[in-house]
Amino acid sequence: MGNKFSFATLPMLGVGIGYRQPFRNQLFLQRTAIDFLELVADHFFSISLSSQDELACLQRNFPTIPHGLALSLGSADGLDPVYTKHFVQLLNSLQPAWCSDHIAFTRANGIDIGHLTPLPKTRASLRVLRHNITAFQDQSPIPLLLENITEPFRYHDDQYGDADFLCEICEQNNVGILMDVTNLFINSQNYRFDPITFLHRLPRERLVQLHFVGARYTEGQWHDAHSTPTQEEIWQLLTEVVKYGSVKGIILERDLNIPDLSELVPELQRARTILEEFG
Amino acid sequence: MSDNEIAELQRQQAEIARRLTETMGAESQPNLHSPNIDSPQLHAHRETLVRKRIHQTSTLLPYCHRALDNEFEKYFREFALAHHFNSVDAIRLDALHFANWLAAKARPIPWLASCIRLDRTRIEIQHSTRWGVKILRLDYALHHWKLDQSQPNKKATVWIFLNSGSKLRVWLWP
Repeated sequence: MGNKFSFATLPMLGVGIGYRQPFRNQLFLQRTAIDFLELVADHFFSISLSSQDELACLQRNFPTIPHGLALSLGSADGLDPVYTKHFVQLLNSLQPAWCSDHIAFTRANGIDIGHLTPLPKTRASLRVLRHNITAFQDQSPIPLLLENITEPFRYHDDQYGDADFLCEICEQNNVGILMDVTNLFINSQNYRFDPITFLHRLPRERLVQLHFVGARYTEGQWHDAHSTPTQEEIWQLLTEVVKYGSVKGIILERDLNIPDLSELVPELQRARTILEEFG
Repeated sequence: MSDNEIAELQRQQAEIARRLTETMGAESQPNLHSPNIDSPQLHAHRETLVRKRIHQTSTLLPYCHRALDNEFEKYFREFALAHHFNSVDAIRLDALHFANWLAAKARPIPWLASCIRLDRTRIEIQHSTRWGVKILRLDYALHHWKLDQSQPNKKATVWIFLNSGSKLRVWLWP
């Protein structure tokens, strides 16, 4: 991917959902409410016929964006060649407008943690990210977006603030931002910073895609449960991000307590109204 | 990536991964001290991870979960002390290995053994692309089975009736 790639040239995809198996048989009943689908890339690494048929069916009927969970771009051990190969094969097959993964590590010293783990905001992390992103982009020309995660813990030896770290990642790499509005809300509440000030420090042309879903508050902390309707504070923050950025796509990301798809349509419609009015 | 800062990050990540997984599920708090991270936060994160595994496993082993009730979590935490799977299939492996571990532990409790056997059978059918063949080759004496696809937007249900009089319900994506 050339250094001069402009994220402003990416197509507008609209509003969609993170595809999960329970939605499978309802997708076409709600076809008009869904502009595009985000697929968890890891779910389609299988070469089984049923998995390939499912992928082909989705691809025929919707624009699809693959979203990785375990590329582990922050891993100081480097990329896992097997996972990367599967991811690149999927990209070659789908030829999506863009793809995404997280600013995190999920693997270290041969151990798969099974969860997105935050990085210290240091020069070393930036170098590791740059090394791994370059290695990935050498294998695929598809534009890459990186997502902010919720931070269950923080490091004492951070050398950058939250916004500075994200700006440095964008500055040093040819990547866009997948802003998880819910994660931004959760981190801003748990670590007491102003999400709007954070937002306005970011390069607006790199803010390409958004995730949103409800957050859960227990034991004095906000959690990223992906299981509840979106709260009003998150809608307000989402509106601010759409106003500020160059958003091309918004995904409702519901993983647990999954209702009938028709119950999620009002949330999709509200997001679409915000995108049309302020995008 | 070979200088000291990178090597230190590599060491730190390996240590975090080890602490979040190898000691997972310990009831007493092991030493999670790291000079760069607040110990309570790291411990809370480890607890989140183990709770996530308990929830996923209980979904895959509903008979055992119902039979053991609160004991399910206690047993799983004991199991998790020594078991962690590095695979995209980790959730299913967790459930199957926990069922095996439970079977070895629960030999003197016959009713639990039958729950484990039913749950293991459910997982095997559910994750098989040729589930019809799997049903016909069950270890159980099979009376008959039927597929219920009456709700087009939902998972299909396979009812398996055994000669013993027990019935097993398995949800599948048709």
